[in-house]
Amino acid sequence: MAIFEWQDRFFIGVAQIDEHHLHLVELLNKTHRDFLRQAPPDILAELFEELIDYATYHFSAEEKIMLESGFPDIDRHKQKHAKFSAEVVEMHANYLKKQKPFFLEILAFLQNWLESHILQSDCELGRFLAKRNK
Amino acid sequence: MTIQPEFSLRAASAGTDHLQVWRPILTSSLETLRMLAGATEREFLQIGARMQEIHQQAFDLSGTAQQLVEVASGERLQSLIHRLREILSEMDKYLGQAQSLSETSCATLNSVGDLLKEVGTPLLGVKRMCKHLYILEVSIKIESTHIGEMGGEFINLAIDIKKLSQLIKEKVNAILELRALLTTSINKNNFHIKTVKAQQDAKAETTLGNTSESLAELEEVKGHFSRLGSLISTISIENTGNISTIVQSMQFHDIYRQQVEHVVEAIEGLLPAFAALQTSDAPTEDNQCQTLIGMVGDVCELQQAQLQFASSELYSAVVAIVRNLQLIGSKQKQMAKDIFEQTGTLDASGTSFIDEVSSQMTSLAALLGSCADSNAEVAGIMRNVTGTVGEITGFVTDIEGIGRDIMQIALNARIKAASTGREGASLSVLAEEIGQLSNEAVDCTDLITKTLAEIDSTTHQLSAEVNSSEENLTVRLTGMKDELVSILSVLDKMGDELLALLSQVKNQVAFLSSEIETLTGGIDVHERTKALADAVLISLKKIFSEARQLHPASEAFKEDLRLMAKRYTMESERRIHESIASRHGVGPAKVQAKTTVPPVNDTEFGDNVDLF
Repeated sequence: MAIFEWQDRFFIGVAQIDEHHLHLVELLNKTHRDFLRQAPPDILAELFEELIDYATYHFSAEEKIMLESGFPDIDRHKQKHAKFSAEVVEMHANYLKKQKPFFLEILAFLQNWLESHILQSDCELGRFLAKRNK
Repeated sequence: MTIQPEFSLRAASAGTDHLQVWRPILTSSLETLRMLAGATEREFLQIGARMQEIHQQAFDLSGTAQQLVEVASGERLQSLIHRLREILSEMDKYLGQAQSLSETSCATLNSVGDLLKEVGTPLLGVKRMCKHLYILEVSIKIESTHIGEMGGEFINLAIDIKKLSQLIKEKVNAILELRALLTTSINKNNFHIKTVKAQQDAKAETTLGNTSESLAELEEVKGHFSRLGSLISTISIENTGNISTIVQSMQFHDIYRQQVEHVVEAIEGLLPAFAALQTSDAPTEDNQCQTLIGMVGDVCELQQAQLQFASSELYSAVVAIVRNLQLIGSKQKQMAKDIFEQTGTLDASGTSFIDEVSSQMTSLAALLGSCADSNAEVAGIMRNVTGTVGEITGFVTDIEGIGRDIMQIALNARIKAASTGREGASLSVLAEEIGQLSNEAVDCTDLITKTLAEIDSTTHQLSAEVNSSEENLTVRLTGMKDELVSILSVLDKMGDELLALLSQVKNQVAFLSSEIETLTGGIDVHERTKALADAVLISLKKIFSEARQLHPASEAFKEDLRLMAKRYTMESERRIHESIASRHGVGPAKVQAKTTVPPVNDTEFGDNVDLF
């Protein structure tokens, strides 16, 4: 059992993006497991950072696909990425400064954001690309 | 009167001829004079009777006009104007208070709106906790699998967390739903209150302005009517003066009759001498003839002057009567015209200045009604807002309960984690997290309950104020409205009275004018009497001219004239004798000139008693 149980409905039908999502979920679950195993805060911070870096990489790839495919809602999608990035970077910084050592809140935010983003925004992109490639 | 005849024999024969001619002329003139003395009396009595009626009608018309002035400018109207001014002032105060209440309502609603926005953040914070609780639930479930039999208790804890998470979602969603509803309602009602108030203020400004103007006009009209009252009094006094002049003129008829009767008597006195001459002997004929010629000359000269004077005086008197009657008519017409102009009454519409005031009062009453409705509406809105706020604040206990429940779960988690030893170390981490979550939850719920309590207090306070003000203002408005309705009723009654009096004035003026026209148009007695008198005067003048040629006026006659001019106290008689004496070279009589200063009028018709 993990905080993010992968299900088929999370596949958007774009292999590259689905792989990225699977990796992000794996990173999130690993961070959660380490947290439960009382990993030291610096380890948790590293994991958190890795997660942010990978998310950033993933967003770039996704935005490239959107641009190349002429996805009409690209701007709104990019704004969501930017907002997420800003929030997690702030959370990471706060965590490092121990201003808000409430790690479960970070995990909850990441889980919730990732789930809703994949199911809504990314699935919308998947449907667009599927329709375009027909 | 003593006549000393001086005659010559040479003239005797010619004199007899003349006497033969004069006798029938004098007889005929006597007939005419007798008719003049008697016939005019009836006509003058008729004129007098009609004139009295006209006088009464003019008096009645002045009375009606005075009544009309009283209605339009009297104490009753003054008190109405005063009260209406007070009501306007009260209205002004009321509008100020209503405006203030409206502004307070809007400000409070805005404040509640701000508080509702504020409460959004902690509400979302609580909602976000559900996600944390989910992670906790999952985490606990994961970890519970590693600690063997004791895991069952942690599973129960996870179930509690799940239940709590669902409860929080329900409550927060309910609050958010009501919050959205209330926010929409506040924005809508705030706009509505502002719009309605703005419209009402504009309407109130116009209505109060118009009413104020209307009252100013009413006071102006009242002032006009007061001045009109003075005018009517003046016209009444002038008419009384005209009537006095007419009455005085009417008395000339008696003088005329007396004077004509004197002339008749004098001429009648001559006729026996004519008869005696016919029966006398020849030697005395010449002597008697000359004596008679002298007498005829004296009598005819004197009576011609008397008749001339009487005829002329009567003519002038009747002309004065006609002129004064016409003056009365024209003054009454002018008075009526002034009244109609002042009342602004049009023949066709039959409306008056009171209608305008009534119309404004009706608008004012409608405005008062509209204000009362508006107050009730604002109070209703506030009750509605208060009701919704009540529903939201009903969740305060639930929210406080959430905080307590999370704390309880945190405590349970710590206790359970402590009893698991090394295997349950990860559960200790979770218990710690739950503890932190519960702290945050308490902060959030405290903020929510505090804000909701503030909203509740604010709306209740405003609602109480609005209800109290609505009650007070509505009572005042109803009082003012009732009084306005009562004033309107009085004004309408006054309007009816005014119209009735105006109609009466109109009818009276028309009737009076017609009466005066008919009367003055029918008066020709002076023309007819003048024509008859003129014919007699020609005859008398002819006779005395011929007589004086045959037998000039004697010295004794002249002396008599002088004495008569001196003796007569009656101005007219004295002037007649002075005039004839002067003609005969007797010269002006050295008599004390009678004063020409007008007599002091102690009575209505002046001091004319010496005429009789």
